[in-house]
Amino acid sequence: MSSAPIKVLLVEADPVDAHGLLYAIERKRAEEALEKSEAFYHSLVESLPQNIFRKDLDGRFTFGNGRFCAEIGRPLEELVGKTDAGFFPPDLAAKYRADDLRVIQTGKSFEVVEEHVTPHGEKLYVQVIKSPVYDAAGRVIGTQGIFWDVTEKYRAEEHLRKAYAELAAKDNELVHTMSALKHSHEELIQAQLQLIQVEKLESVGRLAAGVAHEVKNPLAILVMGLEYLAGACAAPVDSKADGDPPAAADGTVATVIQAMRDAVERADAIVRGLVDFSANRQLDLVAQDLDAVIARSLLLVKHELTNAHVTALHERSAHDDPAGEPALPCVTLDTIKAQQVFVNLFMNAIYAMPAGGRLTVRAYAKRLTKLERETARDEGSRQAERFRAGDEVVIVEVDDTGTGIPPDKLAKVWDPFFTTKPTGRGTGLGLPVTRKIVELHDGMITIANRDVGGARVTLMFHAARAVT
Amino acid sequence: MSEKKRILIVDDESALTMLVKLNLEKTGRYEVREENHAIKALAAAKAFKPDLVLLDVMMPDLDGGDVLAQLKGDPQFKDVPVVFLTATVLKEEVDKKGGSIGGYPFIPKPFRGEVLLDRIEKMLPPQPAASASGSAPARDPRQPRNPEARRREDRNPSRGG
Repeated sequence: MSSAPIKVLLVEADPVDAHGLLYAIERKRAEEALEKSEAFYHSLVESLPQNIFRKDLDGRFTFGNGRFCAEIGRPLEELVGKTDAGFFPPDLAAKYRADDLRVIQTGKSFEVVEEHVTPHGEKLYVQVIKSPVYDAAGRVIGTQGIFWDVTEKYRAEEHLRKAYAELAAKDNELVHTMSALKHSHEELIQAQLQLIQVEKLESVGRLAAGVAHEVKNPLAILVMGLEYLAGACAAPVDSKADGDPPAAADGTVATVIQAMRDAVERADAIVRGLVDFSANRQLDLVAQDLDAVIARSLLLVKHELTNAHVTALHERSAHDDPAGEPALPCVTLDTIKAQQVFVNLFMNAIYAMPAGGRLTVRAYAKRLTKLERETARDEGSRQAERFRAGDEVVIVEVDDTGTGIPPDKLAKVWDPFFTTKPTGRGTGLGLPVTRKIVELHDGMITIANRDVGGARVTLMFHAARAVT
Repeated sequence: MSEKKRILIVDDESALTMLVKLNLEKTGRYEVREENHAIKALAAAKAFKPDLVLLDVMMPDLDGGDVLAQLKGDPQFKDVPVVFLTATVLKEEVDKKGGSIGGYPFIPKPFRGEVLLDRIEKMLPPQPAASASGSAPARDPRQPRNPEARRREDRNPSRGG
């Protein structure tokens, strides 16, 4: 029972039916409640900032809130009963109808952000939610739509999407560029290796003549040995001539055979040394004993040394422990390329000593002090950047007693095609290529005149990490 | 019994000098001394007084040409025949070496024993057996007729070839 007083209109008549009066009162109350409810709904719908509308099953508008009406620019009376076709371009109207039908048929609402053209022709982006409307019995009797302008938000998102796509494209480009750069770099390394090989073949030509010489002595030994043995086999032991001592078949024959064996091994080593040296191979880095590489390089140029009357002295590390451990730490090297470095340096030294002299090679281990490293860097050598104070290094010094390098030429020796040799002799690529090889080994090379005369080439390599 | 000819071989390759000595001495006609250090060659020649010198061309301390110059600078060895042994292949190198290889015969290495013997015998013809009466051996008509030459006759019949 409501607390509000009920106004009753007294009408002269027959005695009133009590049920009928009660019914009328109840009904009045329900109507008022309904009015209130509708008023509430109405004010809500009208005050929201969204566009709200309703349509029946045929797509005819049954309602539109004030905002929606303002949006399409028509009063409510003109809206109700019309379809989308009355307000929107045909394809748009068709699309809306299709959407409505989907909602009606599936009974499910859908939400979307879509392009919207106002009747004035303005293009916006709106977020739309369309849902089915049910009657009391639960049957779909129409659709309800609510939409609002999200143009700014949409545009911002579009902008972001675009920026992202651009970034992705740039990233792609970057990946391609990196890949191309990597490829380029590999080609460059190959070109450098080619050049290194070409320079090496230059010296192989010279060394080959030396090898031919060096092989002739072993061959001469073999020929003489064979003749002796042939004679020893043919002649019985007791045949003597002119009081000669007997052939002493056993002792002498054994000596001769051993001399021949040694000769064969020597010849083989020399030839194989050159063949290996001239092979064209990719960089193959292996931790190894630098003294062994130096020794083999000296063997390769043995003939050149003899020819020029240059004595070679290979000073081995002083603290050699005969019990086994070599004093010199291993260095990671490509054997053939390292030989190429030494062959080049030895040939240069020999060339600097036209009247003969001495070539001294020594390798020793060291731990770099800060001062040494700073000094190297001050000399303007970029290579010094590869080393740090405290690094374990192996240093090689190649000394000659030759003419030295004129101070004005000292800086130029590294320039490609700079050479002091007469035209036709030497390419001027020896030192630049040598330095390149040293770089490939992460090392450093410098050259300076010695106080006692002649020049010194100093090489520095990182000691290889100890491997058990 | 004919006297053995004395041959000095100067070559830094000791296995080779050993084998040449063995092969030459096997013939019974020669006595061979080896010298593996070019610097000591002149002293060895003075001590051994060779009838012929085999000389390697390319050696570490001195070239064969330098040794030749030393020998020829000494009156004792002025006319001693010399044969070069060489591993050299190129004519330019042959000409370059010592400058004086031209005019002296050389044998390229490796050489067969008979080639070596042939060359030696050309330069040191074997002596006819001298009778006990000591009659003078036949004189090489190319040698000048003088007392000094006669003394050296049996040592140095000719050079060059």
